[in-house]
Amino acid sequence: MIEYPYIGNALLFFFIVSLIGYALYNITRRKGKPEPGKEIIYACGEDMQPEELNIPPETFYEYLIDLFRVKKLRRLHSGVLNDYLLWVLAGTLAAIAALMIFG
Amino acid sequence: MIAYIAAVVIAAAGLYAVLMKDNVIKKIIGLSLFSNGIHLFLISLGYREGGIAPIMQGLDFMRFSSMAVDPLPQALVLTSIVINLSVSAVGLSIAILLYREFRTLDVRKIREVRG
Amino acid sequence: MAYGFLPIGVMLATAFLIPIASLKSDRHAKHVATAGMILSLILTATMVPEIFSSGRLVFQIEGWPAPFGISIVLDTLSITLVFLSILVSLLVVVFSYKYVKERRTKYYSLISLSLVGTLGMLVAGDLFNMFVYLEVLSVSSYALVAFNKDRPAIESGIKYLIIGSLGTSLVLLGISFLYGLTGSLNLADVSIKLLSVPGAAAGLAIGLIISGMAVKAGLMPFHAWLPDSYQSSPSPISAIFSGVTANAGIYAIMRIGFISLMSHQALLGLLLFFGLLSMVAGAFLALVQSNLKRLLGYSSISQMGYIAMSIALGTPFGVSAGMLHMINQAFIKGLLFLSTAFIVYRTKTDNIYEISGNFRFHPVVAYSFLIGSLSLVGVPLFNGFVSKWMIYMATLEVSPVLTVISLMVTVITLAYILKAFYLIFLGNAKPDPDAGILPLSMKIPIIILSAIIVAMGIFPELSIKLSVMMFSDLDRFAYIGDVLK
Repeated sequence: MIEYPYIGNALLFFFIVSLIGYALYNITRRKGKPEPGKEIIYACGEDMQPEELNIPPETFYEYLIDLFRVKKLRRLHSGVLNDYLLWVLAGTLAAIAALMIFG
Repeated sequence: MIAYIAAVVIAAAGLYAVLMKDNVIKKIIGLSLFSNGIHLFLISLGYREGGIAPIMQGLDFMRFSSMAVDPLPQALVLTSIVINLSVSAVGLSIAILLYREFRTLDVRKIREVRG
Repeated sequence: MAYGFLPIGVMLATAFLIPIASLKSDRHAKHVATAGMILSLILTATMVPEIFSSGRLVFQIEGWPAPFGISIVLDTLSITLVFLSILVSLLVVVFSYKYVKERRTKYYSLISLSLVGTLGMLVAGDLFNMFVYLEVLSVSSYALVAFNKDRPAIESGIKYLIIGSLGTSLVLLGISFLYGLTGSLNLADVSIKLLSVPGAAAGLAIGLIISGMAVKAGLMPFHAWLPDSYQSSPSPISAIFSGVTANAGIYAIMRIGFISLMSHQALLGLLLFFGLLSMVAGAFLALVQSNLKRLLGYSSISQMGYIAMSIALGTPFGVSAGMLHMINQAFIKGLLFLSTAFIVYRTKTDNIYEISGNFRFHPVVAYSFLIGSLSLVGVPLFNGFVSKWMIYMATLEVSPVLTVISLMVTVITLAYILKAFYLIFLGNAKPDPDAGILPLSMKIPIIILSAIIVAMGIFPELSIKLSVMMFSDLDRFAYIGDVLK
C-alpha cells in the first residue's frame, strides 16, 4: 500500500480499525436522561449494598493458585537466610553438573 | 600440592560458615574465609618449584622469566583482598545497624520481610 | 588513547566530586550527578556512529597488546546497553530531586558508583576487569538497599550482601579456574585456549561463573534477594536495580557463555531451565503479593526468565528477541517503578490494599502506569509487544510447548499488573488534600519514559534492526578476530 519510511501497513490497519471501533463505541453509548429507578444495582431481587458487590480481583485466579500451589511457594520464601543460600548452592551444583556432564 | 589442599580446606570451612551458621557476624567471617581460600588457590596456581620472587634485580630477562613465579595471580589476589575488605566493611556496618534495630543477630529470627 | 573508557572515567570523577562539592551543604550533589551523567551520555553518543559503521571498537589500556593487556571492547551490544544504563540512571537521578531529601551526598554518590560498576562490566574485555566492576556494582548496591535504615531495609541489605557476596566469590572461583586452565584472562584468548582443555574442566569453570552472574541477574534459584531488595530500597533505586543492574548480569552471562564456549548446547539447556523456572514461578508469585514493590520485583524475575528463555533458544531470531526484551524491560520497569515511587511518596504506603482511587487525582502518573502495564503485557502500539511477539515467533520455531507456556505466563502477567493498577488507581477514592501536585522533576522522567515506550512501539523497525545487529556481536570468531587482531 502506501510506502512511508517507518510506518508499516500494520500500523495503518491498526489505526483504521481503532477509528472504526471508536466510532462504534460512540454510536452505542447511552443517550437520554437516566431515570431514577434505573441506577439501583440489580441483584436478582435481593437487597445488596454496593460494597458487598465489589469482589476482590484475585478470587478470579484462586483455582490457578490452588493448582500450582502458589501459597506453598510463597511460604517457601520464608525469610530465613540459610534457605536462600542453600538454593544458590543447589543451583550452582546443578549448573556445574549440567555443564560438566553434557558439555 | 599442600597449598591446594589447604586452599580447599579453608574454602570449605568458609562455605560451611556462610551456609550453616546462624550468626550474621559468623557469616561475614565465613565469606572472608571463603575468599581467602580462593586467594590461596589463585596464588598457588602461579607457583613454580624453586622459583624466586618476581622482582627484577639485574638478572637478564630470559633467566628471570624462567625462574620467577607468576606475578599475575598475585596482582589479582591483591585486588581481590581489597574488594573483600570493602565488602566486609559494608557488611559489618550493616550488622551494627541490624543489632541496633533488631537486638539480635540470629538469622532465623530476622524474618520480617518474607513472602 | 582509550577513549572508550571515558564514560566510565567521567562517572568515576562524578562519584568522587559529589562529596567534595557537598562539603558545605548537599544542595549541589544532585546537580553534579546530573551534569556528570549528561556528559557521560554525550560521550557515549559520540562513539555510537563509529561503532555502527565499523562493527567493533577495541581499545587497549596504555597500549599493551591484546592477550597481555586489558582490552575494552565496544560493540553494538555493549554501547546500546551503556547508553540505556546511563539514560535510565539519569532519569532516576532527575526523579530523585524531590524524592530524596536527606543524606543526598551518599545517595547520588552511590548511584554514580553503581553506574560506574555497570558500565565497567558492560565494556570489559578482560575477565578480571569484569569481576572488579561487578564488585564495585555489588558493594554500592548493598549500601543503596540499606539506605533508608529502617527495619526492612537493613534486613534486606544484609541478606542481599551475603547472597551477593557468595555469588561474586563463585565468580572469582570460576575465573581462577579459567586462569589455571588457560593461563590468560582476556576473554578472546581464553576462548581460543579453552578448546585444548578437557570439556568437563571448562564446564566446571564456566558453570561457576554463570551461577555467580545469575545471582546478579535474578534468575530463579538465585533470586531470593531480589524481592526483598526491591521492596525495601528507595523506590527510584529499584528502577535502577531492575533496569540497569539485572541487565548487566544477563549481559555477562551472554558474553562469557557465548564467546568462551565452542559448543554451547549444555549452556543453552541450563539457561532454558532457569529461564522457564523464573518465568513461571515469578509470575505466579507476583499474583499473590500485597506489597506493590515486591510485586514488581517478582515481575522483574519473570521478565528476566523471558529473556533467559529466549536467549537459550540459540537461534538468531531467539537471541535478538531476548536482547530486545532486555532493552524494553529496562524502560518498562523504569516507568513502573518511577510511577510507584510517586505513589509511595504521595500516600506513604506501598500496600496496594490500602490505597485506591488515585486515578482522578494524579492522571499523569495513572496514564504512565497504564502505559507501562500495557507494555509489560505486550499490547500492540507499545514496545513490549514487539519483543514479546518476537519471543513467541522464536519459540514457535523451536518448540510450540514453549510458546504455550509463554502465552500462559503473559496471561498471569496481565492478571497481576491489572490487579495492581485496579487497586491503586481505580475504585473508590480516598480524599487526598493536595491532589494534583506532581513536581516537575518527577513529571519529566515519567513523561520521557512513556514517550520512549510509545515511540518504540509505533516505529519498531529501528529496534528490530538494532537487536539483529546486537546478535551478530555474539559471534565467537568475529569477536576473537577483532580483539586479538
